[in-house]
Amino acid sequence: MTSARTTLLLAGVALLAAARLEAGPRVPPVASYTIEAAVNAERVVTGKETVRFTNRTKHAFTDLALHLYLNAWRNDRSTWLVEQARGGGRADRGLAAKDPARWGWSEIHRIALDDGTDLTPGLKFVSPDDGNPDDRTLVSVPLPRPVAPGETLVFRVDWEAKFPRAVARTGWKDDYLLGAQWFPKLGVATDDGWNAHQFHAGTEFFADFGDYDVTLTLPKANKGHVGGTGVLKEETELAGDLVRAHFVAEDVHDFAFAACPRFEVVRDTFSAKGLPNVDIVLLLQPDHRPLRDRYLKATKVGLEDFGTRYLAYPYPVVTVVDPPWGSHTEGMEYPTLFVGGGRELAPKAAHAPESVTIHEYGHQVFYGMLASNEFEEAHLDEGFNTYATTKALEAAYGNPSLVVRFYGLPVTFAGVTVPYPFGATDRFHRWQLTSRSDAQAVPSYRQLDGNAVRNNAYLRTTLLLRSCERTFGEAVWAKVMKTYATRFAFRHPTTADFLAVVREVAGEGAAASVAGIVATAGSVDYAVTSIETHEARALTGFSGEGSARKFEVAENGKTATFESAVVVQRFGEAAWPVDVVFTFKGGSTLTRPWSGAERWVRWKLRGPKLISAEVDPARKCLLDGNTLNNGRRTEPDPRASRVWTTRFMFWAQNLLEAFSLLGIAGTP
Amino acid sequence: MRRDSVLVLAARGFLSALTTWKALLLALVFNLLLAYAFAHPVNAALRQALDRSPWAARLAAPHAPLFEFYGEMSRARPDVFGDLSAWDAVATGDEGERGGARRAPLAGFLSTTGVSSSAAGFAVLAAALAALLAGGFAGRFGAERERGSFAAFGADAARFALPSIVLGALSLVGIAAAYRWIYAATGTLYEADDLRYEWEAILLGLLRLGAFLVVAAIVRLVVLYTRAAMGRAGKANLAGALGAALGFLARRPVRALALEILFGAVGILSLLLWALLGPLWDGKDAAALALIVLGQQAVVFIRILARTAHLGAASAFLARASEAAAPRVYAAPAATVATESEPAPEP
Repeated sequence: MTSARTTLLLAGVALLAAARLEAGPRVPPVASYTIEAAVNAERVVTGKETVRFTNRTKHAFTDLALHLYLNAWRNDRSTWLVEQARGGGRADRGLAAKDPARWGWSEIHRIALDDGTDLTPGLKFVSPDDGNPDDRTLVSVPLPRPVAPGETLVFRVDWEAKFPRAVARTGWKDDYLLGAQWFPKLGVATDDGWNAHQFHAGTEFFADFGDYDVTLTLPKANKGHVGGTGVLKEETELAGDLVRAHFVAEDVHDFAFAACPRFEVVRDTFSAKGLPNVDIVLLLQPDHRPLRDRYLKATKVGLEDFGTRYLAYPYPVVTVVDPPWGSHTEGMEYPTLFVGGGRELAPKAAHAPESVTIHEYGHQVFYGMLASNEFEEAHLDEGFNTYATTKALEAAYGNPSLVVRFYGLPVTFAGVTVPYPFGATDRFHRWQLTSRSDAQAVPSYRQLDGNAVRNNAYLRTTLLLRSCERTFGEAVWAKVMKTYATRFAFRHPTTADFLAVVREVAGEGAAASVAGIVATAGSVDYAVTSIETHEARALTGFSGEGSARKFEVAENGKTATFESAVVVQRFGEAAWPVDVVFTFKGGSTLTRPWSGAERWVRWKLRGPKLISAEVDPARKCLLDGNTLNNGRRTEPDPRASRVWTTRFMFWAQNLLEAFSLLGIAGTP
Repeated sequence: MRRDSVLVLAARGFLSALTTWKALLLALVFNLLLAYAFAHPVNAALRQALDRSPWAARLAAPHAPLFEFYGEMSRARPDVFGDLSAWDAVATGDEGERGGARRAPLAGFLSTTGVSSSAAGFAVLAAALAALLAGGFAGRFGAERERGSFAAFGADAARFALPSIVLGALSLVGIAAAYRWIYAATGTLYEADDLRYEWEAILLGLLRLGAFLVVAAIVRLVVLYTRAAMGRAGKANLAGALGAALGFLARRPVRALALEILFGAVGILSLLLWALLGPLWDGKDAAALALIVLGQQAVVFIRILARTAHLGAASAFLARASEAAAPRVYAAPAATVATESEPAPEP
């Protein structure tokens, strides 16, 4: 695209955005930032920010709590790196290198009130979560006088920071830079004071809504190849081979940007009936050019699906960043900007980059607008969004096929379907075999390790919501989700808020079931432990009384009625309402609902010969960790085992024959 | 067609192998017995899990939810399959989580339960057995007479047992070392994520794999031709045979490699054919079971035949080379007497 056309398009987008912005903010801003920052070739940021904090709580704040997230990579004693070393977060080998360019840091040089009062001397690092004296990701700055409810405080921060080699989705790789969590940022003001945590390896962020006016000065090579939260108002060339990019965003709670001279800028517009038009800006790596249309389509799927089911995207632009290979910035969300992730060889059957694109777009709803506390209740954004993502993917693309990479080359096994949400189901239940460390109700950052956070946040929640949908009905559940989304948009919803919506829309029983799962670290497992069926026997012995008393002997084989008994047990610690289905000779079935709360239940049946009994054959409860024990037959059916044992035997023979080549050196 | 062309040598290899059909059947029986022992825990677990479960009907359906069943089975009975990640890593080249800790190469094969653990033991057993039988085959292919004699095959297997096992061990160690020091070790020389493009990472990975395969193929060929040379010499002289094989392969690498590819293709094609036909049987018709099992054994037999025929072809190749190298006896030209005289003047 020529530069003239680019300029025209930029101007058009800016004008359109400006028109929409005139509608005014949707929520009263709490924390608004005006930032002027320059990033040099060494990825060092020199910045000044003016923060306008309006206290909309009942609490009087005597200090400021500011995040300095980039200090997570200042040295290996930070809480983030200590937690990562014990498996807390995304793995990364980069920081093991002895290259100082790979590390990051952030330092406040001066912090002062609007009237010039210098607050810097009082600045101190705090570690409320773990008491780590070496962690510098959170600072407390005492104020000369409290900020009373309703009052607005304006302060200025001069700071310097350095981006690390990209880790945990911020930093640089080669000429690519994802600027995220890069400026001193306020915690969340609540009625109980600041909600501000150190940076943890397993969890993400939490911030108040506000308006952002950000001016970035970057090396000139990035001109026309920069994207950021909100709308790019203008790009201006400066002396010294620099370019200045000016972004404006309203009603957001963070600001991130991406720059790479290699970005190919692709523009498109989303329009769908009943939803506002949205401009899509795709910043694409040139080696991912074949993914261009797939990225755009997936973004539109996200906009439409999430817009219809939950909340319409209210901003004029969404920016999609396609990160380069090995950047460690794949799959991350920021307001109005998200990072996807694609491979050069990307079979369509694998639904990648579609899945990551839709998921990260989905965070515009479950994080962007429903701004829950990711430190404490990571399930409210990650789990809800993963649930919504699988639904959107399923509706738009169907189920993926198995794709295995052999030495980097993908091979699609078209005949093997991996249905949604199988991946989540399998990974979650595998984790539960080895760990049941924490319930979802435990604050995420306090959970045992990264596996606990990931499994609780993403997987358990996805399976829980999917199970709700299947158990309580699609329509009911859709209403629950829609009500929750619309009621808490641009607020900080909690699990309690969600449970209240469930209770209101789906009823007390549903809310109790959901709350039960949220409160336990245990598993769900139902099993048919006993099944028997036999011909009903007539009475043997005396019947009647007095003169009517007579002796009878039952004879076998004279009745077509069978007596059957089935025992179903709850092996898991958690309960979920399930159906138990009995199948009789001739194909007739009988379904009995069971609350699943008791440890066991025995059913006695009289009628045709019982063939099988199965708990939850429709697989409504995806939380059940073992479905092999869910059913039993009264008589064996050897068909499947015959096929698969014969096949396995054959492949074993061939495997051993292949091993023979090690000894004889013949043909493979 | 030249007598030492690849096709002729391959045909001679197959003919030689077929003359030892009794020994080939013995190899098949050994394979079957080993496979039965290897597969038994899995097969017993499958029967236990399926026969009285509603899962049986689902898995017998045309579009069986195989992936889900495997997930359920491996979770519910982790003792059956064990941790397959070490095998998975070798098969796929997966070096662990991108950017995460590197997996120790060739680690974890024995430190788990279930078939993933016993597979390593069975691999060594199968290799040792194949090595032992290879001595018998090599002896018969090198012999001038009684090539099909089962008793002579047994005697050769016993005679060459020790050097055969040593060769097998050398082959095993050589291939493992090539993987460890050529494929895995070179992977630590660079950080894939620091490369600019993914294709660079894939290419480097494939180059490393290619280098390993070339070395592994050389190890395999050296061992194969050493066996053939030993059989032809009729003596259990490992060092001499190894020297002869190395010298031979150094002079004729292309045809040796072509034979390797040809026999490899025969083995793999038969397997692929079965992979297409095998799944047609749905287990309903128990009477078809015998037919299915027979078909499966035919495929395995073809693979054993191809492996053995490769040894036969190597032996024939060596023989042909010896014939060609033998000093030629030229017949002396017949004596002729010529008398020359001045032409008579024309009248």
